[in-house]
Amino acid sequence: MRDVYIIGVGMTRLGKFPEATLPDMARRAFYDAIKDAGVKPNAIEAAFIGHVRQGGQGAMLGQRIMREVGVTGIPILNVENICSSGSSALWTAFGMVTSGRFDLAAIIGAEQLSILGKGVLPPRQEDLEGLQGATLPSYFAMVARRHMHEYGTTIEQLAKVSVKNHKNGSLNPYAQFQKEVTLEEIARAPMVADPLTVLHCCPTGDGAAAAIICSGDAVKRFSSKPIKIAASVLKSGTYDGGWRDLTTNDHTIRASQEAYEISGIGPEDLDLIELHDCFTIAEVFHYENLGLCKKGDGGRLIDEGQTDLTGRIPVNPSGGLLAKGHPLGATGVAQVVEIVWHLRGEAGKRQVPNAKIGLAHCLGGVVDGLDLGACTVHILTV
Amino acid sequence: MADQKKTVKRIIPIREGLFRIPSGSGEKPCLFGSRCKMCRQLSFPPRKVCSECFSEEMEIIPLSTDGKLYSYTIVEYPAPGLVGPYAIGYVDLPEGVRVFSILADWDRKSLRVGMNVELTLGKFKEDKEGNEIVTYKFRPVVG
Repeated sequence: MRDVYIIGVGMTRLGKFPEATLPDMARRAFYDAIKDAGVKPNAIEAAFIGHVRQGGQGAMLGQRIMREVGVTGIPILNVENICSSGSSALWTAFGMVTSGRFDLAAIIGAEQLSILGKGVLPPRQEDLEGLQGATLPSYFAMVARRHMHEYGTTIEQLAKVSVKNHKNGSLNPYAQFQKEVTLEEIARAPMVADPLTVLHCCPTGDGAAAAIICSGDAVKRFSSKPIKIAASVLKSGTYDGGWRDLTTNDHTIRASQEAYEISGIGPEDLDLIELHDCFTIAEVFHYENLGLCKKGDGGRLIDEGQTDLTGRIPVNPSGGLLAKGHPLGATGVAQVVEIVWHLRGEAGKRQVPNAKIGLAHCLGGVVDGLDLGACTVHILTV
Repeated sequence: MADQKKTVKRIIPIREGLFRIPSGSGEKPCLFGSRCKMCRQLSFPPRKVCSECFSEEMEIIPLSTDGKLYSYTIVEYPAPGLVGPYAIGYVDLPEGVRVFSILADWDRKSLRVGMNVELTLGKFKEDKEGNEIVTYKFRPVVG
């Protein structure tokens, strides 16, 4: 297997842009990445497009995007894994490049949720839980309540995640929300699913992100500061007779452990993390699932400021899904774009000093009986 | 005849094969689980194939009607097509299955993790023809 490098990245600002078209947003992200990489569009050998087929724009969206950017005729693969569609597209492209099939590939994640109107994402009706009124916020509300019950985690600890990520987002010109919030504002915000108010929940939105990856054989031709993909792992949730432990997230544990083994990098070596904070409780229990602390200690990490931008291990310097935004298919690629900028020292006001190693963690989908649907972990190094 | 048809409202389970609707006196509602005849793996909702040993020899068994509330939430912002607030949760049954359920007969102060709950059937919603869609629910045990 060959080494694989990221040689170019780009993204749009995330937000609500109902007047824009998705291929147009994707084109802008792609051209930023292409220029960043210093390659011509027609040098791209294959394109992997992560999206969730929203709003009837979904079928063959990858082909529509690539037509817009002017690159046609090459292999184009549409990849859907709900919220981890973009990172699953990266995983697919990584496999193709490391195995020698291609030398140069493009990954684009794109989504436009604003055209669907307001509200929570509609649950799947074929799942018993979705059919009977479970929503994503309500699922994580139940995770939060059980985590509080077993480990003494408090709602204020969860709110501190939102405070931190909004503060980081206020420094990020690509973020949907660039405004700080206070504990009081979070507590007084409208309740979505008790105990989570709307400021414990990520927004829906629109945007696109892109990355150009390259084999180790070819990288010298293109880039003077490539970022290595030291591990690329995808796992799905496991089924255990419908017995769900809400306080843990088995496939995040398995995916991160495998990524640590492949790369020889441990959680203590990481300089920054972009993780899937779809809800505040998710960030807290992923501290535990990713091995930053022992089980049940996630609340303590946020209390002690260890995951602040200036802390021991900054988490979600971009603002995370909570503040940067969460256009499903774009999210996993946008996380990787953020880490690349930090590892190059190009992250502006939110730069994590001297960052050498970063981890991106992306999670997708509630499926009945599974501990969520899909999980990717990517470890990037300078 | 057409008018008469309209007035006959039926009771329809939210999904076939999930629970028993009592047909006469003495019969009680219950949930149905599947148990693998080979390795005894138990599942709710019932499965066609065992997730442990891949056997297709599954039997349907009635599950206990009493359980403990593992976690819950009061949903203020409802799923599309539903009206909030409503309460949902996970209920642990003694057989070792954790069942997702709508909660019934709750109030904001009474719900707590670990409380005893019992099975009941109740209306989920009406369909376009006015038929009552029923589903299983768990409610706090009084007293």
